[in-house]
Amino acid sequence: MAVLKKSQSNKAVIKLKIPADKSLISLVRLVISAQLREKPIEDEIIDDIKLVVSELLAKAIEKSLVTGFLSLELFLNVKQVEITISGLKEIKLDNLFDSPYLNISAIETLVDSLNSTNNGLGFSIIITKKFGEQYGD
Amino acid sequence: MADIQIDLKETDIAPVLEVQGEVDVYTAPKLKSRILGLIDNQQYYIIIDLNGIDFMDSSGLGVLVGGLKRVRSHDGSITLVLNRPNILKIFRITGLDKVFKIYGSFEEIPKQ
Repeated sequence: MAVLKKSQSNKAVIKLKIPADKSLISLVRLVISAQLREKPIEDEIIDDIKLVVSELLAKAIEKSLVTGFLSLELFLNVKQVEITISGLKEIKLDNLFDSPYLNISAIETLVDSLNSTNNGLGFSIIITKKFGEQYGD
Repeated sequence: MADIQIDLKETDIAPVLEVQGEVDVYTAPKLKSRILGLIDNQQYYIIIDLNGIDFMDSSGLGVLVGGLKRVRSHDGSITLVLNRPNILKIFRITGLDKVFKIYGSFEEIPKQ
């Protein structure tokens, strides 16, 4: 089950919560795509974000890293998309992206930053990707 | 939910699997099953047309590489038909564009 909320603040936010179900990852891609295509963001940027997020979710589910529900929050700033994924057990990013084909090195070429944090509220992974066009409300 | 459709087309060159939709962790097993089905029928020269897909992740790449390894053990090959920039990018950043023969269209494949 996915819960969708869109804030009315200056920073556009999508919040999604899904169970650890591989069949729902496409829904996440669809929501990200629909949200970002409303803005002047290049298709290649959107495709890169979808791939990294999809790969992250797939690996997290395959490795049984999900603690309850997976949460995804998408923030749109001027010229940058930031996505935070939480609801995971802590893991090193190179152990998470361990595909022999799309490993951490390949993944990092698709985004501007890929970091993890554990701030006492749980482990999260934060993806940022800049885009060229000016984004404004 | 991700959807995939795979049609088999017989041609003068080799059987062609035409893939439509998305190849991700959920749908990749269906592609694997179709590839293995051909191999089990001793079809070791396979063409896979990926021009109908919108998305592929490492699961899809893994299926293709696995299939390639199997056909190569019988001196066969898997040729890809692909001209979609977003999918070609994945092959490029992973180096798999040097592993597979990739043509933009079926017509570009040399007829031997």
